[in-house]
Amino acid sequence: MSQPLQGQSSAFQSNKIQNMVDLFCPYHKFLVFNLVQRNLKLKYKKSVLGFLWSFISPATTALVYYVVFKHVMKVSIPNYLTFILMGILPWNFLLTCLGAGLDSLVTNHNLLNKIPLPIHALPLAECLSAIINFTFSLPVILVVALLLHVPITWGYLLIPFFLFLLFLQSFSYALLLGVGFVYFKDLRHAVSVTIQLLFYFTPILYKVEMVPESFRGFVYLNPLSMIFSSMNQIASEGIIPSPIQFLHATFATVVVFTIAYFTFKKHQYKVIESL
Amino acid sequence: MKNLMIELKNVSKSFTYSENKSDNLKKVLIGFSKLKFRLMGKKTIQVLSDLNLKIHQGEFVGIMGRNGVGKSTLLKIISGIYSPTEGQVYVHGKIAPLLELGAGFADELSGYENIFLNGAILGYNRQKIQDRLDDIIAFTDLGDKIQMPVRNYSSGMLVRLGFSIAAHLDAPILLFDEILAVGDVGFQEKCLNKIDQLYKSGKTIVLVTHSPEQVKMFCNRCIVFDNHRVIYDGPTHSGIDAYLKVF
Repeated sequence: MSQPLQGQSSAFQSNKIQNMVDLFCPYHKFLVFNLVQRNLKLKYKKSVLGFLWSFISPATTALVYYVVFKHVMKVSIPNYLTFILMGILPWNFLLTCLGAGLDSLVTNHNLLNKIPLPIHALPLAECLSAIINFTFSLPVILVVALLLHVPITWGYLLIPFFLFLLFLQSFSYALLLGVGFVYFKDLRHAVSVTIQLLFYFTPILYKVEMVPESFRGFVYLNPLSMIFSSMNQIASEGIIPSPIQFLHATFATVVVFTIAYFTFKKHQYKVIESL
Repeated sequence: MKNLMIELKNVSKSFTYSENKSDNLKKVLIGFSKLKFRLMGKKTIQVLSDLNLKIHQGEFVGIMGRNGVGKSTLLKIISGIYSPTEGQVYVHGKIAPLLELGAGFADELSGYENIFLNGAILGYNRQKIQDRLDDIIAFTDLGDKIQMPVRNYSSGMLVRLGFSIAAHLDAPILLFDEILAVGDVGFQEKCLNKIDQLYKSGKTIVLVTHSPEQVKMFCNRCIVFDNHRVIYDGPTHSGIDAYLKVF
């Protein structure tokens, strides 16, 4: 079995679609599996408690936001608790992908420069572990929804689709961060600040319709916005996302992923050398 | 005509670094605000120059040269860790590299778990590794110590484990970078026997070494580097002379 051609200076191989699939490490499935298994084992070693700790932090944040925005600011969104949970928990997943993705490259730099390894396997494994952890918290949201008598419609079946889009975007951002790290070692600080701002540009605490028309453009420019707005409207009112939301979310994901793919492919060897 | 396993065409490799390294976003932004658009002093280190190399199946190539002349970089380029600055590299077959002591091992895992990790990194699936597991463990002679976390291994133990994994995973191309220096006499002998066995079974082996004896023992082809270029590429006996002349 001949391995795919390696290291051709900076020339791209001709089959781009095949190469995009390579970002998911088809030749190193066992490696990714191994890494994810290790991550999960570490987390769940103490069985349920391990999971609880990673759930409690975002859940507490969500609760605080709920009290402040619903009861103090008196925002008029129905079933605000599930609305918020379905925004904060996926947002936390995104943050984990970014942080753990970059960390995995930095802490394993010795590994990466001494043995040939598809370096994107590491952030991929981190993102997969994060999405698995997130999946365990979905039943909790469902239970909260049931308790609050939120309409559980067929819309709930669409949530995995939007989560899949979110996963693709999060993985893309993790790769872009990895490349950014080559050039700016203190990127982490800039990213922290940007992420905090981005949080408010994403419809997590509010509905898109509530944003005054003059600002709404900014929200639409955010590739994550329609993913979150779709998910939280399903979770709070059971409304099925509109075709525009579908198209925007899908198109934005494709664009982000393509940019990440080309940027990463171009710079991936530099990442190894600069770690 | 035997299969071409490794080919390098006009390969050059250089590393650049800037002296006033603005790899800091803060520095760059401050630089802009003070309108300092100074050009960073960039230094380039040329490690390999215009290298052309073809290695066919079944060859046992010995690579020699002073320290720092580019031998390890060459192996890293062949194995895909580094990408050449210029030129192309073609590799036709899976590679089992043994480039540095303990490369590919996770410190906190045991030797046993690291066999799976290492195999996974090299692109093998669980079944393939499972099939060879007993052979790998037996060869290392580590016994119970295989269950110890790798961070507690001595360098000799590391080389036993690393070599055993690389030697048993059945990759058609093997790259060894000065790894036989460590390891006790018993293991050295075991290693050399195993390498002989691998060579006879048709594997392509590239060995970087400072030991003319090892080269004489095995290699049918010898490449000598000096000043980042190949100064000799041919049969072993003259190769060794060329290597010794370098000093």
